[in-house]
Amino acid sequence: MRLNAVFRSDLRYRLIGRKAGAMVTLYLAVLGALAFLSLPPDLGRLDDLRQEGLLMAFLIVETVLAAYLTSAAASGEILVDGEKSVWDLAASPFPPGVIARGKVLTSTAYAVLLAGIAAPFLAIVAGIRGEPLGAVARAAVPALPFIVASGALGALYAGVFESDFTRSFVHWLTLLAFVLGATALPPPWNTLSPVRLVMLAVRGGVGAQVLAGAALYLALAGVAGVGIAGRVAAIRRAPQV
Amino acid sequence: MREHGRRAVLFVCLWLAAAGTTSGAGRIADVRADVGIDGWFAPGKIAPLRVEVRAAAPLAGTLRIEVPAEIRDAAPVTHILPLAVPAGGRHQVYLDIVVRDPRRPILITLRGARGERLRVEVPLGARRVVDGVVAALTREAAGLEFLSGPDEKRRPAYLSEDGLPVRWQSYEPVDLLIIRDLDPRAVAPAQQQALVEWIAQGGRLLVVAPHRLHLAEARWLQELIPSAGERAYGHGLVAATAEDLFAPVLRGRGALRARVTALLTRPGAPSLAPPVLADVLPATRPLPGATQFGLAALSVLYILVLRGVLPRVPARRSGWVGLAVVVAVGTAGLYGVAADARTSASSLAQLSVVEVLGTLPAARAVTYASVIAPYGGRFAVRAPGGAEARPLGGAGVTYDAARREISGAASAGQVVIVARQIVPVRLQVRWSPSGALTVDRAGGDLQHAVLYRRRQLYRLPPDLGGTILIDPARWEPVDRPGTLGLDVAGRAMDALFRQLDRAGDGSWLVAQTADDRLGLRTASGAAGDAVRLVVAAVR
Repeated sequence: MRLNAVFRSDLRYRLIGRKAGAMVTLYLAVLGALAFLSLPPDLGRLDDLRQEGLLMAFLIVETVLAAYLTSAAASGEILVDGEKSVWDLAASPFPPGVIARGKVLTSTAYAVLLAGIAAPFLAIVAGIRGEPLGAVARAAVPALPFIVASGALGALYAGVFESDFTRSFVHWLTLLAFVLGATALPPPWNTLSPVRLVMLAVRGGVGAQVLAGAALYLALAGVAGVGIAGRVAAIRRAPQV
Repeated sequence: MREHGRRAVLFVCLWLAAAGTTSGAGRIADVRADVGIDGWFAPGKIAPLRVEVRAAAPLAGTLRIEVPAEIRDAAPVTHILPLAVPAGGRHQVYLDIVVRDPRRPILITLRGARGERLRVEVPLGARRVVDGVVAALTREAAGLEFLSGPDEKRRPAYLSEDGLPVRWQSYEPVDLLIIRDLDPRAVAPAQQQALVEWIAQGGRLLVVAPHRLHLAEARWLQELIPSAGERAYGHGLVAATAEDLFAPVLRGRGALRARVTALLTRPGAPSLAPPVLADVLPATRPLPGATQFGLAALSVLYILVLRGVLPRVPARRSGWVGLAVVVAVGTAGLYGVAADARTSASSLAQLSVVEVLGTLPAARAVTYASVIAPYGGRFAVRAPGGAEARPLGGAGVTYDAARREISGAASAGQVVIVARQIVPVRLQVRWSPSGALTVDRAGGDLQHAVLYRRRQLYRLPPDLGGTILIDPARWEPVDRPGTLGLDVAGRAMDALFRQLDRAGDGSWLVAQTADDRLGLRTASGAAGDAVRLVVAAVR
């Protein structure tokens, strides 16, 4: 089977790069610390943080953290040694579609990787609080599409904004809009929020709202992919200075 | 007669309501339920529930009785009892329930091997709620009308022998029992025992015109009745009047009213083991340091291994498999350690106070058991036979009569269960005229016995018994730091001493015991951390 060359290269650098390695270590250390902080029994007695609330809080933090790391690596806010941005790849012989697919696939694989390697720490929280692991699996239904969409948007921003500051600003604005802005919207619009979708999936199972939210984020990743292809084509059409 | 008529109407209403809510195509059994003392019950107190199941065909399975919780959405208190009715026969069960929301019905479900067979709702009604009951065993349901006034919080209950509770716990809402007419042959041994045990614990009995009763056939009652006036029986009181106070002439003069009122106003013996004692029990247990260290070490190890594996993933085809194995092993290992830590953190701590009942060779044991499940989850404990156990605060639990098990969910991390039982104990302590202490006891291992009097204690010798000379110089102040210790036993003693201060000015013998008849057990039979105190008044 022939893998997408862009995907293969990007994923390789995200696995072997020193900075990427440090990023994964930091991600796991934060989650490990969070899992450890959830050990005191009295924490489960707080009204706002009942037993299931701790697992949910952990899942939300994990989702947001993974979304940030995926999008930051894709947008170039965190420079992964060796990984090529959309701007760099526009100068390569790869067709725009291959570049776009490669970037979206990289985000997908990285999202799955980050979610997967966090499983042992989720297991600590679920095990000590007596929560079924099914809740963790259900939370992945909206969480993974959101992380993928964040990564795809990050890759698009890398091709759209040349200025590091503007790119970082738009990147943070996008994350805040999804995580905080959408959560603050009145119902039913707040179900656009990944935080709300994860809560719904953990508490009520994978219902129509959760599936619709997941589909929306997957569609957003697709749209970002189309945008990346269009941007590559536009860069190639632009006169060389 | 009017009262009998009301009762008949109530019974018919209950029966019709029960019949009306029966589900299923064909009725497989008739279920009759009687709640309370003559239909009266006090919220938060025990009420007897008698359920009678009649079936034309053989019926076997379980009877499930759900008593609604105080809060609408909270889990009900569920009683599960084995059920076996022969063809054309009947099955009777007696239960002690606590009514917390009289507006909602009790749900009775019959379950067979093929699932639910019958469902019956038993309505209660807020109009049957009282603070207390004055029960009279009399053929003529009249005489206690003075209790039916609008300002009166007690209500009269006219009983027949059949209506006498079969367990002492069921007498909880009864403030006074009057016996006027009694057919001794109609009182079952369990009813006799329940009545005697209730009086021993502080119940009040008035026997009216005992000469009219066939006391020769009721020795148990004859032994209770004083030769004249009244007498203490354990912590209770038995009074007798030679005249028939229910006779119209005496009723008209207010003699019955005066006697009943006098008895009701008499202060009862306060319990030495109120719920405040449960405060000395631990409410939570921290995760052991070794477990925390183990989880931290495993977490760090997992991160280090992953950091080593990740760069090698792209180099080999099997790299992803290796990564998956590391994640799977890490997940399984940490989940296992965490789940094990959760289980091992669950524990039972209990405090029993065994209060000798006056001069009787029996004691009332009240146990407060703190079922600690720090991370929530389900629990199951077993109560000894004859004990009545219920959660403090009315948490939704399930009583399985066949297994004598109480189970439920400790969503807040702790459930406190109070268990009450009567145990035979022979321990009498007296001051001799010379000022020495005379201890008469049989059996039972008493340790660390002390004599307590007004914030002072006197440590008694280990071989407790016979005559003990008291050296006035060896009294110690309880409030001196270090006298009682800071462990659960020390704090329990301190809390008990404060109750003794309220109970009176006398002297008390307090000792620890290892009596394993007391308290609750975990599913594995362990008593957990148990402190058992025996207390007897020095006479």
